[in-house]
Amino acid sequence: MNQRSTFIFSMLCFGFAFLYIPIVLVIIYSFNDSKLVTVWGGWSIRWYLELFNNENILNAALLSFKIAAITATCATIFGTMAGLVLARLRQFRGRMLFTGMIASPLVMPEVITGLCLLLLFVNLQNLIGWPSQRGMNTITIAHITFSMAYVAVIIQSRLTEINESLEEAAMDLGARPARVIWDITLPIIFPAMVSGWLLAFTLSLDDLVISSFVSGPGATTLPMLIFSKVRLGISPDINALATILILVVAIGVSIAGWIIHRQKQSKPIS
Amino acid sequence: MSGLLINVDNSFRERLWKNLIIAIPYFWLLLFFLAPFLIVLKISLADPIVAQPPFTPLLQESDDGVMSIYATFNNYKYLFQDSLYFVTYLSSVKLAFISTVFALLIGYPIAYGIARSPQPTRNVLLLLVVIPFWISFLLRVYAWMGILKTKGLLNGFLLWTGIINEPLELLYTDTAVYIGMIYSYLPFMILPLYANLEKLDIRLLEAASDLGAKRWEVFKDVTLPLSMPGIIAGCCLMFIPAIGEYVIPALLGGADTLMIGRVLFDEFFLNRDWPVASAVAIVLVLLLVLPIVYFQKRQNQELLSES
Amino acid sequence: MSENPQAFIQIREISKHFGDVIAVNKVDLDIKKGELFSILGASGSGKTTLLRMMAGLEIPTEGKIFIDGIDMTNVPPYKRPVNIMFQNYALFPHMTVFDNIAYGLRKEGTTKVKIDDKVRKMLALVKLSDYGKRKPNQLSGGQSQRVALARSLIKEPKVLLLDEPLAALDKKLRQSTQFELMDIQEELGVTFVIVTHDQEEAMTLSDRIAVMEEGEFVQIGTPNSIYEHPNSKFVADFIGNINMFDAKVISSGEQGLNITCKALGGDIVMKNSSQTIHATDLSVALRPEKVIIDKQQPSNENIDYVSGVVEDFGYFGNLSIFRVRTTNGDIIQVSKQNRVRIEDTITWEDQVYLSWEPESLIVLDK
Repeated sequence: MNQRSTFIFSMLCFGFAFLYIPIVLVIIYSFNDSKLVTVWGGWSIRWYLELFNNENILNAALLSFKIAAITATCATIFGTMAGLVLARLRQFRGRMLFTGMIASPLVMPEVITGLCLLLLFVNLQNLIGWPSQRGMNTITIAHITFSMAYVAVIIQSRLTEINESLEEAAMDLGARPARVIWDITLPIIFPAMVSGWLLAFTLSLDDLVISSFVSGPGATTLPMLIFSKVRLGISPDINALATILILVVAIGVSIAGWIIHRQKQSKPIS
Repeated sequence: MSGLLINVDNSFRERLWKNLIIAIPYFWLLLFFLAPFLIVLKISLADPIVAQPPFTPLLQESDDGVMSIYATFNNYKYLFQDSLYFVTYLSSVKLAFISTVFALLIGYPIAYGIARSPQPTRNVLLLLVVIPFWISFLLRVYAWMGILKTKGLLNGFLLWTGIINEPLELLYTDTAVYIGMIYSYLPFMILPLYANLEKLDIRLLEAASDLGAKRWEVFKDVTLPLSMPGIIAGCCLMFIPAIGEYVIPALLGGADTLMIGRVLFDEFFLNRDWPVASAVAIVLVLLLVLPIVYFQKRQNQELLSES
Repeated sequence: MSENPQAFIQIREISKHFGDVIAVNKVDLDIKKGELFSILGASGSGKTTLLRMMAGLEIPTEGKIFIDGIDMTNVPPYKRPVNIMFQNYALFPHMTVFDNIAYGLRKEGTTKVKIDDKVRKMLALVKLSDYGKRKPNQLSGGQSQRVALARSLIKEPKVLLLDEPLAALDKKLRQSTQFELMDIQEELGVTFVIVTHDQEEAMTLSDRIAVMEEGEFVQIGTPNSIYEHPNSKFVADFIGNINMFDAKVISSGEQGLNITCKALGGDIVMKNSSQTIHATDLSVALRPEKVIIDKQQPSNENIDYVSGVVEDFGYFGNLSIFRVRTTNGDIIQVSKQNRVRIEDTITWEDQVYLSWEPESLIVLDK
């Protein structure tokens, strides 16, 4: 196995280097006093200070967080419903269409989803007068639509792993189906719901294309702002922003990983 | 077959509640996912006009009050006549395809290496793959701008070590787009591959080896076929959205980097030609229908075989 | 099946179709109150589907189920006086042992004080009094099973359904659990219906057994009647080991049956045969433990016998199993208890004589 191992080992090193070098460089250069990438001006946190004084960025960040929180919560609710239906209901009218609609957002290019949603909103506006002003509301609706698909897939695959006999046992012991879902199903899939929430949150926070299509005047999300800045070239305060986000993600993922590790230590039989 | 939601007795409350659980996500998706497609289809059959909204309506009233339907295939004709669109579609497919292949070639050994690692290492490595997945796509692409610029870090490094004498034109070229694509989608490729390889039973490899297969034969005959579902999932999750990718060509690509996502975006926002943009979208969807349906079929198969 | 007003569970012409597949095909069954009844069959025989229909987890395509005189066919599981113990126990992983057992009572709305009392009594019955606070993932297989049993008995159901109750246990545990189950059933007087593929389990536990194959009942009876008086080649072969040979009817009359069986040495007169035989081609079956094996030729001239050579044998400590190749070329399997500690043992290639009591022969026509 030696030959194989060296190849695999070097691929692993190369792979992780490839993944992380750009990230590390961004972090390092966020402390570069000079604006230029090729010149090292010394360690400095001036870009971080500029960042915190930049009202546009702070407003955009706040907007993005608000949208992401609402999106994540609604997407988790709808997605869990959809996942339950897909996993536990064998047939019903229109199941194929439903399955198709759930799986498509996962692979559909964002420009198409964005375009479609914008045109929908325009048409609705013509027909019933709503939405009169595109902005946070339309962005949120759009985000919920594609996020719920991700949550549904996560919940569906978790539910197929769980033996149906648990739910059948509860019914046999006298619980009506509604109670079974509340007493048994939801508590067991709760970790999957949490990861669904986090995924929806991240997808919403990070979305550029769809937001650009369905947004309106005055509603600029963080990715939209970042994009308009970096189109013109490198911007050091964006480096600072990136570093902060990277740190938040790294800490968050590590904590989550640690929690899962602790849980796995006493692995339940299900 | 039984099922939690089937075994309800016929009381009204129970049926109502069950139907609600199905109905709410269903109608949401019908309204916000399916209906839009139909609307885009409708608009692609209209003419652009200077008005709000900037396209002709489907139902038109003529002077004597007769309703008629106005639809035109002009936009589609325009698409097919202008060879630029055709070339752009092809170019998008080509870019997406080659990026996917490279991502697979890089991602597979990584996924394999992680799956074979002993426990504490494996969790750490997995964590390290997952972290970039959660970091903003946009920011990761941005990171490469600084590296690939003419006055950027890569050129700086290469010039400094004397490997080259003149800086390389990397940013705003197809090459940059390839690098950006592979970089951004790599976690999407690694994770499904890993999920599949992790379940591989080592004893199968040992059995093959015991029966006389050499190392590469074991890989070819056992590992590779068994990891097919993971490979297909990873490739679909990358290839299909990559065809319509916008951000990467917009930030890293040059003026002559032809990708359909960018064309659609520009057609819509810069030229304000909604009907043509709609037609571009419809054609793109038609192009993708087969891969998407294929992907869904595989997903369902996988889920069924797991339960 | 005739109407039996005393039957506690009545299954009438129950069928279950899954698309084109007929899992259960118009079966009828009567189970008495307080009986320990087993449904025995291989995988795919339809036994689990039948059990699930009794529990309410599947709705029959046709037919009716009556429990204690009430039509339960379309009643959902949470309204039936029936509880089921699942093969994989289905203990709720996020609840303690105590909460698992208390669950059914809580759904009924029983007061907290009563629940505490009943759960404690039940824990004592299954000998797990100190395990109340544990979670399912902290229990062994045997302990999990007892919790599952407690959970399904605490609601004092009229019928308890058990799906392969002993399948997940290792051999020693299986034996002790078998007797424990029987004790509990006797004490509580609940009607047990067990579904299993393990004949030993069915034979040991049950008052009566129904053998099921391809969605239909092949024979229903006590363990003894099924073992000693199988009604078909299938049942004879399915339960235990058996030697089966072709035979032909020479004549039949009131005194008995005259048949000829080459493997058993020629013409045999079956006196007072309890079965009515209509065919001319038959099978004659003989259980291995009913064959007498000896190195000496039988002295009584009236006894039928065959001779042969020991081709193979296995020594199991308490018994020995021989495979004897007779002069006719057939293989007859013999099992013999090793009653005498030191004896002139029979071994490979010994010449032996096989004989049997005439009543041991079973005549089967299908």
